Amino acid sequence: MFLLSLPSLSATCMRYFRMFALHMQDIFEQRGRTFVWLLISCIAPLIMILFWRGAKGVNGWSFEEILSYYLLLIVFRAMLISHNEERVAVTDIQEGQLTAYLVKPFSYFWLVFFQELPYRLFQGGIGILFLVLCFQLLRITSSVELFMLSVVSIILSFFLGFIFKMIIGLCAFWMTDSRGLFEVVDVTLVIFTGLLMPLAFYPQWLESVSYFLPFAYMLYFPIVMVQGQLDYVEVFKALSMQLFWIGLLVLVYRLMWRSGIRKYTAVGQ
Amino acid sequence: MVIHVSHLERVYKIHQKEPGFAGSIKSFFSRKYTDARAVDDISFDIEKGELIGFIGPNGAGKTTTLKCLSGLLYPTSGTVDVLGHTPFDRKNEFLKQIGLVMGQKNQLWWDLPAIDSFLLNKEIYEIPDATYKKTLDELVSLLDVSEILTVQVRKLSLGQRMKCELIAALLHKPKVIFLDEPTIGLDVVMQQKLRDFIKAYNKQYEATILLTSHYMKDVEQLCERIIMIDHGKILYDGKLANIVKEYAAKKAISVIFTKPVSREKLTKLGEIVSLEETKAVLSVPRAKSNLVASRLLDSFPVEDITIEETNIEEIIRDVFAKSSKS
Amino acid sequence: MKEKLHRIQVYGRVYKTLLRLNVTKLFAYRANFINSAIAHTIWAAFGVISMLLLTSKVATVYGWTPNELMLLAGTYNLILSFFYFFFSRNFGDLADVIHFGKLDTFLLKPIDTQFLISSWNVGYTQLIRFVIGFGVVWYFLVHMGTSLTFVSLVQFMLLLCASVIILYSFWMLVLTLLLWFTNVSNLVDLLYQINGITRFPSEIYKGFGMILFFVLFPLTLIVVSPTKALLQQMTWQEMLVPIGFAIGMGFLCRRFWQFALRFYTSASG
Repeated sequence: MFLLSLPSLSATCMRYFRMFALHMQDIFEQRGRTFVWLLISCIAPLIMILFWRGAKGVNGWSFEEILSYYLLLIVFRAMLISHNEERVAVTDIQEGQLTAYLVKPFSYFWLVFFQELPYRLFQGGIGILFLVLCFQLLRITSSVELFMLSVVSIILSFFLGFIFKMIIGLCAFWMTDSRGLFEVVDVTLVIFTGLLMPLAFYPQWLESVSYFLPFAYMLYFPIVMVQGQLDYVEVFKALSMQLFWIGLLVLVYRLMWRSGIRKYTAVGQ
Repeated sequence: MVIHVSHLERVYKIHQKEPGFAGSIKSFFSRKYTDARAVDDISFDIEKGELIGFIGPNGAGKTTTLKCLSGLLYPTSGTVDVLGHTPFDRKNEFLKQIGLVMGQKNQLWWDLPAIDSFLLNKEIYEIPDATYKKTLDELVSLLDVSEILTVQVRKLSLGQRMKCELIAALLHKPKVIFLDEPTIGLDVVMQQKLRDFIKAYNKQYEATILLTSHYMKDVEQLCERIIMIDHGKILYDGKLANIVKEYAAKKAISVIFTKPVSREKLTKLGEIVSLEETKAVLSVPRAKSNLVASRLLDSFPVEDITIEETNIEEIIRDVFAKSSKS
Repeated sequence: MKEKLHRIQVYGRVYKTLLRLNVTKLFAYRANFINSAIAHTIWAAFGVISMLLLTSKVATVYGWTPNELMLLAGTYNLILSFFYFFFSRNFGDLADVIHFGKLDTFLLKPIDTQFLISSWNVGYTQLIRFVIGFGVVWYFLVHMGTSLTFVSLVQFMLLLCASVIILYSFWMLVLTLLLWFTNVSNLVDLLYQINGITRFPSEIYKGFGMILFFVLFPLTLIVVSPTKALLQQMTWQEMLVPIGFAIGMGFLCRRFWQFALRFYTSASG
C-alpha cells in the first residue's frame, strides 16, 4: 500500500498533486468557512492565556512562557491536528464512497493524506505569519540545532496525528455509529495533547501517564521543544518515542485495513 | 377572482466565478454579480375551483412564480393578489387558507408515524377536533392510507410518503393549493393514483389548484387550462384543447398497405412524410383528415389505417423550442 | 387583548405537542440516544475535570479560590444545560433548515417562524448535564459551608432566566447571518467555543482581555452572576446589568431576525 513502483511514480505523483490542488482551491472558495475555522482555533487558547494571567502561586513557568505556549499551541494545533476521521468513517465507509476509491490505482491512505494536506498547510501558513507578527511574545530556543530538531519533531507529529486519525476512522468498519467514539477521542486529545494546559502543570501521576501515551507526541512535545524547555537528552527521548509510536500505529493501521477491507467488501458495498 | 397577478417581475443577482485555481483566488477577494430575470412581466387571473397547469422547462420561472404567489418571495415589481391578500405580508388568515406541496421537500417528521405530524399541524392551524377528524377520515379514505398512519415515515415507500405529505398539507382544507412537481420520482401506478386524488379533491372541495409538472400526463389528465412559461415569460395561457387547434394544423395518418403503391397517386391525397414499400405516413390538414382517410380506404389496398392522435407533448415542445430560438 | 391571550394559548398547545413528539423521537432511534447521552456526559464531566486540573496547582485566580472556581464550573453546566435543552439542536440544524428549504415550510405556517425554528427540537439528553451541574454545585456549596437563603435562590432563578435569554439572543444574532451566508455552518462550532468563555471569572476579561472580547461582554456575566447570587455576593443593583442585557439583546435579536427574513424572501431564487 505504501510502495509506489517507479514507472508509474510520476503519473501517480501528478494524480496526488491534482487532488491536492483541488482541495486547495476549495479553501479559497469557502472563504467564510475558512475564516470561521481560524477564529475557532484562537478562542480557547486565548481564554487560557487570560486565565493564567491572573493565576497566583503557579510554580515552574513564567507568564511569558505560558503566553508563548498558548500562542504556539494555536498555530501548531491548526497545523498538526488532522480532521480526516469523520470523512473516512462516515462518508467513505458508512456511506460507501470507499468503494469508488478501491478500484482506483492509488492507495487510499495517500489519497486521504494529500487531500488533508492543503488544509494543514494553509492553516500552517497563516499560522506562521501570525507567529512572525507576534514574535516578540514568543519564547523560542536560541539554539539552532534544537530548533532544527524541533522542525523534525513537527513533521513527525503531523504523521503521527494523521495515522492516529486514520485508525479512528477505520473503526467504522466495525461500528455502525462512530459519533460516540469521536467524542471520546476529542476529549482524550484535549486532555492529553496539552490543549487544555501544559502537561507539566498536571498532577505528577497524570503527567507520567501523558508521557506514556502517544497523544503528547502529536502536539505537546514539538511546542516545548521549540520553546527550548527540553535539553538534548529529553529531545532525543521524545523523538524516539515519536518514531516508536509512528511505527506501532503504522502496524496497527495495516492490520486494521486488511481485516476491515475484507469485512467491507464481503458485505458487498 | 381568486388569484390576480399583474406585471409580476422577479430579478435577482447571481455571482459569476471564473473557472480554475486562478478564478478561485480572485473570487476570494472580489465577486462579480449579474442580474437574472426569473420572472419577466407576467400577468394572469385564476377563478375559484380552477385546476391550472403551469408548464415549462427547468429554470423557466415556474417555481419562482409559485413562491411569489404563496408569499415566500417578494416581487421585484408588479402586483399579486391571492384570496384578497398580498401574499408577501404572510398574514395568518392568508396562510391558513393556502397549501403548498413542493415535490422533494417534506414536512413530516422522519422518525415518527405520520399521524404525529398531522396532530402537530392540527395545533398549528388551530383545527377544531371534530373538523380534524372528519377531514382526516375523508383524506385517508380518498388516498387509501389507513394502515400506514402509525408506521414511521422513514419506513414508508416514496409513494406512501407522498400521500402522507399531501394529507399533512391539506388538513386545514386550504382554498388555494400550490403543487410543485407532485408526481416527481413516483412510479407510474402511484402517479396515476395521485392524479385521481387531485382531480377528486378539486371536485369535492372546489379548491383552486395550481400545478407545475414535467409530466405531460399530469397536465393532460388534470388541467383544462394551462399556462406555458419560459425564460420568465408567458408563452400561452388558455385551454389545453385550444393549443392543439392553434399550433397543430395538421394530423398524421399512418397506413399499412397489402401491396406497394405508387407515390404519385398517394401525393394527390396529402403530403407524404414517409413511404416505405407497404408503409406510409401522410400529413394532412386537420379538417380534411377524415376525408383523406375514407379516400384511402376506397382507392387503395389498405390493410390497416390509423389517424394519429395529436401528440400534445410534441406540440408543446415545439412551442418551447421556437421560444428559445427567439 | 382576548386575541393575544388566544394566540398565547395556541403557541402553548403547539409547544406541548412538540414536547411530546420529541419524547417519541428520543426513543425512536436507540443509537442516537446512546450517542447523545455519551457525548453530553463526557463534555459535562470534562467541564468539571478541566477546572479541577486548572486549579490543582494554583492558589487563587483573580481572587477566586479553587472551591469558588469549581462552583463556577458547576453553575456553568447547570445554566448551559437549560440553554442546550431548549435550543442547541435547533441552532445546530438551522444551517440545514435554511439550505434545504425547510425554512420555506416554516414561513408558510400561521405561527411565528422564529418560534418554530427555535423550538422544533428539544434536547432531553441534556438532563444529564443538568444533573452533573446540580451535583457539583450542591457538593461545593456544602463543602464551603455556604447556606442558601431564599433571597439568593430567587436571585439565582432570575439570573438563570436572564442568562438563558442572553445566550439565546447572542446565538440568534450570530446565526441569523446564515440567511446571508448559507454555507458557513461552522458558526455553530464557533459559538460552542465562545460559550466556553463563560466558565471563567469575568475578571479575566479586564484590560487586554476586554479589547479582544468586548463584544462578548454580556456573556462573561451569564455564569458568574448566578454563582455570585449563590454565594450571597450579588446586590439587586448589580442584577440590573445582566437583566438589562437580557432585555436589550432580546429585542435586538428579534429585530435583526425580522430584518434578515425580509432579505431572505427578497433575495433567494
